[in-house]
Amino acid sequence: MKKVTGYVKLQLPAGKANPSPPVGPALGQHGVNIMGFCKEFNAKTANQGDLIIPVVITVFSDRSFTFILKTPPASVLLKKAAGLATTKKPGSGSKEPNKNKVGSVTTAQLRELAQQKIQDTNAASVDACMRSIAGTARSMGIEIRD
Amino acid sequence: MSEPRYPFVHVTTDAENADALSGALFDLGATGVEERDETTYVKGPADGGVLLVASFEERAAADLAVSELADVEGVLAVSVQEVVGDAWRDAWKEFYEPFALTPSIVVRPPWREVTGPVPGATEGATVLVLEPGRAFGTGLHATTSLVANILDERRAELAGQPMLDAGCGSGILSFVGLALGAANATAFDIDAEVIDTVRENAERNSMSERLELFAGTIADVSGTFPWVVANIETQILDPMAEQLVAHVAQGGNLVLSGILTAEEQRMTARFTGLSRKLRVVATRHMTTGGERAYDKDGWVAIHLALD
Repeated sequence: MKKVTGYVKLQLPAGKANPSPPVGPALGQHGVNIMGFCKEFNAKTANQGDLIIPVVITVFSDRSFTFILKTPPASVLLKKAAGLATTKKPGSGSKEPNKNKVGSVTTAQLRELAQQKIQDTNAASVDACMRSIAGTARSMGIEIRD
Repeated sequence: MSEPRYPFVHVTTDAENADALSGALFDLGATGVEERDETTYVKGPADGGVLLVASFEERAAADLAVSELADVEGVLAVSVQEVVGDAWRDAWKEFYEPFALTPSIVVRPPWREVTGPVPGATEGATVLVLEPGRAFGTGLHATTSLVANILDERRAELAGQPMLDAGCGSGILSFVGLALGAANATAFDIDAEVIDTVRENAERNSMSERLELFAGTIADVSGTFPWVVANIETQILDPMAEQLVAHVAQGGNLVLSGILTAEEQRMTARFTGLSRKLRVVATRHMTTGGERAYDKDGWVAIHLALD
């Protein structure tokens, strides 16, 4: 069994990894073949639209690697659920989340997101995961409706 | 000539706020975010903190992001940092040492000689010279290793037979097959840019005469082969299943790779449920060996035969 040297965590737009930063410097300094990673990441995420995909890369002592794709960050899923743009739109979250609401999601949508996210979190139950996502929603100025 | 400079925004936060803040960084124009915490190779801040390292295309956008994030809840520190120069591009090459891909095949890059025994290789192992260039396939990835080892185990059956390498990348599996005694290999890849790399690698290993190579798809292949290998990925293997199997000779073998263990059942069902009846000869697994949840999913290669 090969020895694990360490993990690298990245968040990248689906299907759009390329050797420039942050991928290149983050992986190159550990001896990982950058192109090998990009090609594989892009192939596996090509069908995920414009979502941001977190990826955990395991680097082995011989500099080979493998990686696991995770569900997009809660903030990204929330924006998608609320019908807000998910990439490169400065200010699509609220600057003053308590006063200005930028959108809303339903409790049912929240539960769906929690069911999707729970595999990647430490949350003990879907309810606990829902509470954590609701917190993220509030901090972004996304209202929760019934 | 001045060195290129790459701007990064460093945000120190905690696990609770990391998710929302990385979302905010993307909103502000980040092209990607690296997360450093106590589990990662480069450690994050002490006491369970998280450092978000976001790359930006322009320094001005990075400066703007810093000013936007300065007062946001959960941000403990924020600053712009720069990586100067391009040394990181080829840094991985320093670590690319000769290694035993299978017991009888050692792979080395052109810039490294094999000077002593290679761990895991038998005495008299064949040495392949491989420059991956921009193509996928240094031989270090699990999906490549799984197929190479299946071929090595079956070398007696492979010897003297033609093979097809679908989605060849750097060409490594063709070279492995030829080194193990395959009569000739037909290799193709949809990415025309990798073809020159494969051709150069074939020359380095004096295998050009036994390799037929082209840029294209399975639709461009004619004839059947006693050995067909396809290290691609489930999303592509699935729709091309019928076409791929059409090129397996009666009594021939098909080795599929690029399949996550989570997809093993579905892909097995897919390839054994076609009009030409394949049966599973063997499967070979490789996991990452760690203890965390994301280590549990590994790769599988499936060896099928057409009776």
